[in-house]
Amino acid sequence: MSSKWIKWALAILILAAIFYWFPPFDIVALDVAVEQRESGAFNPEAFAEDFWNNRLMKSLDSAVDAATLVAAIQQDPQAAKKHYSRSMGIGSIYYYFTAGVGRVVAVDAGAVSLSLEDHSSDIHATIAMSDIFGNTIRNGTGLLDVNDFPNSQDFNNISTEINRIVVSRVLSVFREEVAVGSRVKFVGCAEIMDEELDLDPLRLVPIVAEVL
Amino acid sequence: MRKSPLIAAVSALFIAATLLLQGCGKQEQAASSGKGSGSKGRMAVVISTLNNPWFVVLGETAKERAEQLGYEATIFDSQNDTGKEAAHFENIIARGFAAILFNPTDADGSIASVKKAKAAGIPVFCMDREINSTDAAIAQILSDNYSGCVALGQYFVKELNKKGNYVELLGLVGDNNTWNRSNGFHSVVDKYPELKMVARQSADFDRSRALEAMDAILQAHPDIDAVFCGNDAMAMGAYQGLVAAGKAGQVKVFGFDGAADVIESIAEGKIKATVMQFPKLMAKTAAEWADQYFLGERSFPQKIPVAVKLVTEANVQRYGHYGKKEAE
Repeated sequence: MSSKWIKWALAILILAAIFYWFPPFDIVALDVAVEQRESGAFNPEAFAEDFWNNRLMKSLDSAVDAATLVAAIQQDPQAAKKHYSRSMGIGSIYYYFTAGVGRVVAVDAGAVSLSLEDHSSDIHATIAMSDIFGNTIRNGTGLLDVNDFPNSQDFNNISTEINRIVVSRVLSVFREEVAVGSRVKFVGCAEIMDEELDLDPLRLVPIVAEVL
Repeated sequence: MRKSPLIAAVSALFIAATLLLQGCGKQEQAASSGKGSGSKGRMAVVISTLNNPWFVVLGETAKERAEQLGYEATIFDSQNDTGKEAAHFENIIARGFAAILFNPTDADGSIASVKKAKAAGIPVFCMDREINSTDAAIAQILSDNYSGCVALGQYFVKELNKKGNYVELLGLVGDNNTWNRSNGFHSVVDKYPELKMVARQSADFDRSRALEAMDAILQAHPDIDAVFCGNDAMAMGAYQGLVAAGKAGQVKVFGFDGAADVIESIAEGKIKATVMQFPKLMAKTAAEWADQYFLGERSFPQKIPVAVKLVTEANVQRYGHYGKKEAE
């Protein structure tokens, strides 16, 4: 082999070595990438447990009385929104954090319908009974701020865990006990996306739902 | 004189790197407004890719609003490449731009560039895409992707009657929007065991890559019922693949963005749903906040979610291209 070819082979070997030790890019399988992203330091399950036990349960008194809220909405939805709602960012979606006592007038797989106590009008609230999705409790209580989370995925994963707690801890018991005629104490949050659909009835994701 | 192979190889590498960097500079669009000395300064609009009409709208709206506010504005195309993006930032810093309206390419990979701009005293306002840092940009104006895909997931479940085989096409794996959309969708759909994801592949938010991916997936899984795509460009690519395979009427396609062609396709019954983001609102807000920053305002939220809306055949008439009709 001529010295010219040896030199070319040597150059290629050196380049290969450079790329081996200093690769210009990494190829990562999609499932590995997913795993890496999910193995970060933030633990949404632990965070949600701590939030539920140590912050949310201690903040239930700040929920507005449901009869007061419903009366305010019936009188002037925009004024009620201004006075009682919370919002997250830019857009028309807002949330109510509310509590009260009501009498169950209907039960189905998706929701329990309530007639609120101390309120003369018809049904104005329902409590979700099926799987819970979205950010209603996370956003509705006003206790959590997206700006405290460098990665919004962490903030969103908290919602998933809070919803899991609602289903496993609140609804699992409530479903067994509730019936038409039950007197129910509740604390929950409502998300208002469309005022024509979401204000009457007020559809609550429960934090507390207990048959009295 | 003849060069040795080693010197030739190193020289070739150097030349290639130089050409690459020069190429980055050429990605800058000749978009300066040329307002001259009367301008309040120059704003750079750095966009992840202009190979997608949605981002073109984002970039052009930011530029237009900056110009209305009295600034010169220049758009830079990062071509989904953090290397090109970093070169743009070097260029922007060297040329003394006053502010950067920034659509990042990578949630982690773009942080260093933002920090360099910050160190150089140039405020950065992120639009649509997030960086995983709360102390680099002045503010980040971001679509609430997770909530949008929770709503889309619920509609998806309803449309498929809680059962069927489906495919997911992901966007860029380094972008948080990709995962917020995917996680929002799966937070709903995974509750239904008869909905089975038979394939999941990244198509980088790109229409032609989605078409290629769909072709390959259909070879292995001809019996799918739906495709969930992380953006509308991929939804159109997937639909094109289904048309080519003669399955357009049988497989339901779902996207995300509110792009013009998808809004039209929903109205025509070709695509089932998308989630409307509001790129014009985000871009205008970024430009206006940059202007307010120069007027002395400092109390910006680090991250501000922008609400999104599910668009289906039931409400598509209320939406135009990239927003509500009344906002057009």
